[in-house]
Amino acid sequence: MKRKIKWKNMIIPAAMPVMVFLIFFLCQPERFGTPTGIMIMLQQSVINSIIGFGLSLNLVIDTWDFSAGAQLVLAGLIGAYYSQYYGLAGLILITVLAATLLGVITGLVYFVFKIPSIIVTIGMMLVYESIGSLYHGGENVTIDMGISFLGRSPGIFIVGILTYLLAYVIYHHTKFGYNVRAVGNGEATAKSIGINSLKIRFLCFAVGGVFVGIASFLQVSYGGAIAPKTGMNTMSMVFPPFMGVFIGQYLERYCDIMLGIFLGVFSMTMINTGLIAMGLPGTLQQVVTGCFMLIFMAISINREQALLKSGKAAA
Amino acid sequence: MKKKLTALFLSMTLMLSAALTGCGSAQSASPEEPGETQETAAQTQEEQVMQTAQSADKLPETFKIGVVIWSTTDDLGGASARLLDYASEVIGCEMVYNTNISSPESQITATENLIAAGCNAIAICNYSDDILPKITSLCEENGVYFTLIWRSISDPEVKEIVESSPYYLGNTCESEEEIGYRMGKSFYEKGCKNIAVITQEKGDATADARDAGFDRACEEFGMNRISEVRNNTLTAEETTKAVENFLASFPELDGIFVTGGSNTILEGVIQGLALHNKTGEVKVACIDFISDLDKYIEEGAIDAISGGHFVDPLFSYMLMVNQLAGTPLSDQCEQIDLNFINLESPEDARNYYQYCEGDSYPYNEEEIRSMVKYFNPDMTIEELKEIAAAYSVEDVVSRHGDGDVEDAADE
Repeated sequence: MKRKIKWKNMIIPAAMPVMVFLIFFLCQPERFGTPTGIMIMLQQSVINSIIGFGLSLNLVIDTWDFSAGAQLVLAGLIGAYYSQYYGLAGLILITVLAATLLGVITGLVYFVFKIPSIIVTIGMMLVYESIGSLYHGGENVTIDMGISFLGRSPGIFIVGILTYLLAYVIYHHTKFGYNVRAVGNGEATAKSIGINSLKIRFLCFAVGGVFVGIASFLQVSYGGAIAPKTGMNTMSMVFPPFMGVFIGQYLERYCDIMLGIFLGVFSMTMINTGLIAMGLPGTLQQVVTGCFMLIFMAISINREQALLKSGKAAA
Repeated sequence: MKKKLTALFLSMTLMLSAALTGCGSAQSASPEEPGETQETAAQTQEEQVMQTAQSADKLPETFKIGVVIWSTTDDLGGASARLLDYASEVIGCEMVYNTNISSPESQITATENLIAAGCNAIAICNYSDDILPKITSLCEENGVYFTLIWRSISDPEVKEIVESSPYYLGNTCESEEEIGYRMGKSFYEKGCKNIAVITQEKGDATADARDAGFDRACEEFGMNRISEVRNNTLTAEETTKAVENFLASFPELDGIFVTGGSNTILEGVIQGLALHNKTGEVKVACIDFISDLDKYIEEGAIDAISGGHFVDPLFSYMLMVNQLAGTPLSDQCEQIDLNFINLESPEDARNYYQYCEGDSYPYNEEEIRSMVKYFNPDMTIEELKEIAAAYSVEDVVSRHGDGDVEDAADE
């Protein structure tokens, strides 16, 4: 039987990035939207999307992970340091292993102490930041340019696509992914069908660590260096991916959540680039970005409530 | 009676055996090698003299000096902390750093914590002037001296409040606006017209002053400040992104000014330009030194760079140490002006790292001790200001260039 194409499912997810693009393109046709510019924006969206893939597993089940930024920095510092001895393999393997281990530790703390995820992850973020500032005297680590090719096109896109496929398979085609969605749809129901929600939450931190690790070695490759961050500064690193996940969760009814995350992150990247292209002062750039998110969340949440109300009225 | 006699006998036996043991040990050392005994005695005497001399080299009391600083691990903060630790080791002080700061307000908390930790004096690198009245009253209430590092007070009202406090000893600063202007001028000299800026968020006194100087140069030489990125917590990756965005949106871009390049910010700029084969084509001017400067200058990745001001806190530190030792250099607050070091060639960078930073310190033990009136009664505030004003690579090479370089690795 021929499957019917739902145009709505294609148009709505694409609408936001297209609208954002058009707004800035019309305002700055010479500066915004050049082929090189689009390539750069796509490239810049990869790392935050990958962090978003990891965070989405937790956010789907209402668990917040503020320690992801600190995990990324600490794993990146360790991996970058060992890349001096083991080259690219050292950078990739050690970064991913370290981030996964840190994810497991965060998950274990959550699993053992059973305290709210916000408290656990903020606490772990402070611990990881401190370890990062103590690791090798808190020195910045610069990697050799020769092994940084994964941070630029086409390497970054290849890793990005492979990671997207991994996230897609984990979320849609594994028992773990099914359990995550089940817990996300209602913990009580999930428990009633025999799913150990606490175990799933622990696993989300661990699997999230893998994605953070991939983002970490890409970030080190892209920036060419990494420095420890303290004073809760790593927390700001998780906000752009969070925004992407919020948008992805909204678009989930039309397309795959992971694709939605990418589209959300890409839209945010376009806004940042567009504001720079418009020559707006730095302080105003942040105001506009904040306003965009507020407007998006206000529209999506109010629309959901309106739909619920209309559904109830119809019933 | 019998018990008393037994006790007396035992006591006498013990005394006798103790005396014999003493003699025995003296005898066993002396008769065979008389020369060695004399040597040992001479050595002991020398050690005693050395110990006395060493104790005279230290201050009479171990003062605890606190520092409120953004970080002690990045290039600038780390180099400053190492220099202060070295100076404290030389003269006998204890250093406490509080880097737990993310906003001007948290610097007040950081100061309170250092006071609670028993610091006798505190050096503060304040984000803005606004927090200084509160810090002044805190220090006055607790009888703690304080100084500013890398900063001067620009707000006249705040300046009056702070400078009227007997606990405020002064500040060390560089002409931030002037260095911003010089960086701007260097772009003009290299033929740049359209420059993007990577800087801190508004409110950071240093970045604002450097920005103002740069804007003055742009106005004077007819250059355009085409775009900017403001962020207090930039990483290498975020800076690379910013550079890519500049390149994508402004094909006419021919210069990038970085108001503070430590913490991998400058590395991010260099990486961003390298990714698009724009190294050398887009000129880069930056304040703050990073490692591997000689390599970057040689590759043409950096066109103008000023820094080396990691020695700044040492002079404020000396104001505090002299005051605490009871030999104040001045009876009023003082401002010590320091110059930036400009590196123009790979040789400049190599000399800088050989003699000023890295394995060496710009002032050796003797020079550090001579800055303290307790050890050097001839030291005056004018002389300290002269030492600071003379600071340059040439100055350090002229003092240590004969091989008498302090090796940090040996400390």
